[in-house]
Amino acid sequence: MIDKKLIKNIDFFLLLCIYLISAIGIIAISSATHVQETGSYSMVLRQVLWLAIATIAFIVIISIDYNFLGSYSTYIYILNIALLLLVMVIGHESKGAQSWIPLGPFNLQPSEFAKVAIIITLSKFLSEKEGPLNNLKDIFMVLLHVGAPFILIFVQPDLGTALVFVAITIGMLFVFGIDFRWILTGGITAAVTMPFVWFFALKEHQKNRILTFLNPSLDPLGAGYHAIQSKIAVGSGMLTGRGLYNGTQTQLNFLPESHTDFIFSVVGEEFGFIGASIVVVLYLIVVYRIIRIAMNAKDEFGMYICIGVVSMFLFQIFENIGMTIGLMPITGITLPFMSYGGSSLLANMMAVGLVVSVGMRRQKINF
Amino acid sequence: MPPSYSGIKKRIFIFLVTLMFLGLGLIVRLAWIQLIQGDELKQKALEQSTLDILVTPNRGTIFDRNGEELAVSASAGMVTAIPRSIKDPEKTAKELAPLLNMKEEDILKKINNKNYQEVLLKRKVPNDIVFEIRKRNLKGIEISNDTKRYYPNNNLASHILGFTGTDNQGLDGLEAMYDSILTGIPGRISTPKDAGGRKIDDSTSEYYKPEDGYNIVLTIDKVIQHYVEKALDQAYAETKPSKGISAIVMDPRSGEILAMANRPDYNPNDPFAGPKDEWYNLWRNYAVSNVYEPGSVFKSITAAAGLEEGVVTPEEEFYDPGYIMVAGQRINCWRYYNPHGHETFKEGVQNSCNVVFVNVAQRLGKDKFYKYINAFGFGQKTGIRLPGESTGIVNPLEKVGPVELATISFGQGISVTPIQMITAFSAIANGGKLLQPYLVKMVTDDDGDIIKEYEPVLVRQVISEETSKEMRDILEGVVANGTGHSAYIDGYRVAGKTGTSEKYQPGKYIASFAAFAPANDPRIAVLVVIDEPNTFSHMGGAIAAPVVKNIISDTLRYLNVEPQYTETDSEYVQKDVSVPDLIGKNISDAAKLLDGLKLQYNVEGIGSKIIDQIPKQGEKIKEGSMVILYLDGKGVGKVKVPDLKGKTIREASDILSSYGLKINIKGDGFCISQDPAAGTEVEPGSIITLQFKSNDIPED
Repeated sequence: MIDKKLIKNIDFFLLLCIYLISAIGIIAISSATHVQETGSYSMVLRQVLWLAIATIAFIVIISIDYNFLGSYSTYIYILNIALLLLVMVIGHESKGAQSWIPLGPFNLQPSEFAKVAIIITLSKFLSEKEGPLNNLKDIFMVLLHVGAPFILIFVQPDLGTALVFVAITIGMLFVFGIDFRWILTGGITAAVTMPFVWFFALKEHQKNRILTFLNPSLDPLGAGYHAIQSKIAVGSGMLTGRGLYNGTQTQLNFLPESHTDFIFSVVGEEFGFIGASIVVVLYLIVVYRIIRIAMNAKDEFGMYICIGVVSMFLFQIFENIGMTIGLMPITGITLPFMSYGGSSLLANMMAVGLVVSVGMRRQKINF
Repeated sequence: MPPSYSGIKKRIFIFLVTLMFLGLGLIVRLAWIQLIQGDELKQKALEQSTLDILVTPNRGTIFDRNGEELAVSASAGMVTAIPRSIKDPEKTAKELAPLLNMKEEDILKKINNKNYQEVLLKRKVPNDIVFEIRKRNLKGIEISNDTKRYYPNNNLASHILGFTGTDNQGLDGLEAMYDSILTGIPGRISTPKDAGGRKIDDSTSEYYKPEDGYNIVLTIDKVIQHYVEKALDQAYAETKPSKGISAIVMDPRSGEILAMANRPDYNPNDPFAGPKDEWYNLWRNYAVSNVYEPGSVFKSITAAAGLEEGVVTPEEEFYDPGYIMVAGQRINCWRYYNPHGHETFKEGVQNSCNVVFVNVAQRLGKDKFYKYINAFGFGQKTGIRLPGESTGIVNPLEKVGPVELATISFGQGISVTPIQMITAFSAIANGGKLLQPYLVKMVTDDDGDIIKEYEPVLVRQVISEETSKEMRDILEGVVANGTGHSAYIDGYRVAGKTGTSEKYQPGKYIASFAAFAPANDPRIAVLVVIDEPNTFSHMGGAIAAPVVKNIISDTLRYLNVEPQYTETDSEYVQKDVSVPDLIGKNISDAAKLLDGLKLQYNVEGIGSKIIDQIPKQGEKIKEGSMVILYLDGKGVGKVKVPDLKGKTIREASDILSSYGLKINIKGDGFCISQDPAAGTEVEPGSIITLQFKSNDIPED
């Protein structure tokens, strides 16, 4: 079991920041679901319940040595792919994407867990190799490793989550070390495949999102609607915000998906620049603390886990917040710990659990 | 640790730096949007979260000079729907269709269109229907204030008043010319709404009060206007002019227009009643928009110019051989077959002898003659504030040769508008002052306070008081002894000039007569123009002068102008009579009463009970004056509702008013159904609801 030394090594400051973010998220969800108007706290309670479940999962994860988990890497990978295939078959479709497996009172979103799973399995894969990545076979292996879940999620279709896999892979390979030539090759390949992706792989609404990101006024009531309304919401918060439950964009439903993908806009509108900046700074601290743990990890496997988690969070945070303020195109991507959704919260807490676990076991214990 | 581990650490450090940059980027962007663009974006948020409903201001009333209402605005409702708030569109459409007189599927189509936050279903819905809709309390159906323009006198003065469009905007006549004064400033109700366009329950709305439009008070006298319209109706029926008939009554002392009317005309309550291709013809105000060759009426201008310049005196002798040679061309007098022979200038005017006027024009020369033509205002707009005024056609001076000079002297080869002619004629009558004709006396607000008052505008002195006096004398002779004798009225001294001009198409004529009275102290000037009469005689003296006579005799009596009798007809001296109150009386009793007072009467409508009268009770008029009586209903007791299917709004309105019934108009075009049905017995004064429908006029 866990001894006292390990508990002492838990990064409590990291946890504090994460729970603060989650708390702000729950308050924002209460606003986005109009609790003061409807008197119904069901969404808020569900989120609190999920946070509790996630905390239990976190405790379970940190109780286990991550290297023990690493030894089951192959099974984790197989289970992961199996779940993603299962969702294709029995998945429940919502908002145009077949991403959920119905489990009684709630739906499970395997793609959220797939991110954590891939972080573990890819870390295991890389930790057994020697960087930099320079032979075709290894590159092919990595592409296959990540490509399988990527494609399964891409066809759901859930471009946002699929892109997180790309971010995780790039982040981890960058730290692993990759030959400059391969970066060049990758870049050229991307440039060459771009038109094919544009014409054959991207759905019409995805193309529109990119076009309207470049110019939201192209379609202010259609594809550009989210971008414009979100920008108006955040902007109208000004310095101090319009006050909790007082933002007209949120309260009068001008802001779409305000409790999930656009939860940050609620914070921006009702808590202003001050509130929004605090949230951004909290996220920066979280990411910084994880990087610190990565640097102090006792082995490469632990370090890669941290780097994978950092890549995942960094991409999701920057893409999600960026899209609410017109810096990034709109993709369906959640803001970790804030967006409403049990699978996302649970998966993210598991990821944090892995990181904390790495941090707890940074010292090599001599028996 | 593998050897590359320090490289790994370096790259993790790069990660950190990237993190810092990304974080900084987010914060800078947040600051830009929230602190720099914040105000603007907040404004957008507020804009899209409030629903503004315009509150139509009441359009000002148009009064005649005595405060009689000519155009009024009644409050009505505007029915709109908020599609996203409607729970049960089918039921809503079904309930609304009969009330709004719209097709159920049309309503359904509109309220199912969720692309719009608010759709207009119908404007100007009468108040009783509005009440009915309110009572049903339909979700998502909104009613806001609207106003509906009513012209209580229907066709009366339609060309002066004009009419308004669906948004109550003035489209023609004074309604268009004084639109900004009459319109007022709309108010609005600002209510919070959500993204679906739904109003937020129990939220407070802000009300910004509309500013009602001002009223305008015209120079028009409804009674005189009525006399003119009656006279024109009669003349229109008798002469059946192909192009129309026009009359103007002006006060020559001020330039005020007392009455102005044309036929054909229209009902401004329903200006789009007839076939589309006739609209513009019906709306056209002949009196200011049409030009015609004035013919001999123009000789008064030539005469005034000659007298003013001293090239001729009233008693100077002329000889008319029946024609005159001008530049080798023979120009006939109209009575070339029986030449006037020896005549003084004054007799020449009475005879309307062309030879005399050609002589006068030749003595003046074209420069001096043109000076007067311009001074009398021909070729220029008079400045009466009505839409579509024409300038007339005056040939440029350099194109005028001896022949043109000769023909212009008797009013051929020059085109004028009726308003120009009456204005110039008034100047001859009033001592030589050319006054700007006007229709609006003042602008008042709701409390009756005067906002702006219009005074007579002197354009220029054209001829001297002396010349004017000579002209009054000469023109009185035209009526007393000359071509204008059919305008002669016992007891009133009328001065005038006939005019008949042949159009370029042979056999088509314009007959006109201009007059003023009393000749020694003109109170009114009257012009009647009949364009292409289809009668045996086309002479102005024969067909236009009697119309003028009717107008003058009714009007002078109404204006209480003392008749002037010579000793021989003193037995006809007419006394002042006070008009009795006839409203509510039986027609036969009223007739006896009026006979006893030596008043004439004319009956409008069918029935036995009098509901209105012109002039009103207590007014002092001369014996022999005309009193117009309006009857209500048919006989005593109930009235049978006539069958109105297939009638236009105007026809139906005329028929119903003759039965003493009131009309409730729904739709446009031709009557397709009525309630109560034809043959039903109803009380006089009941409202008959008529449904009109048309294929060529789209519903707005």
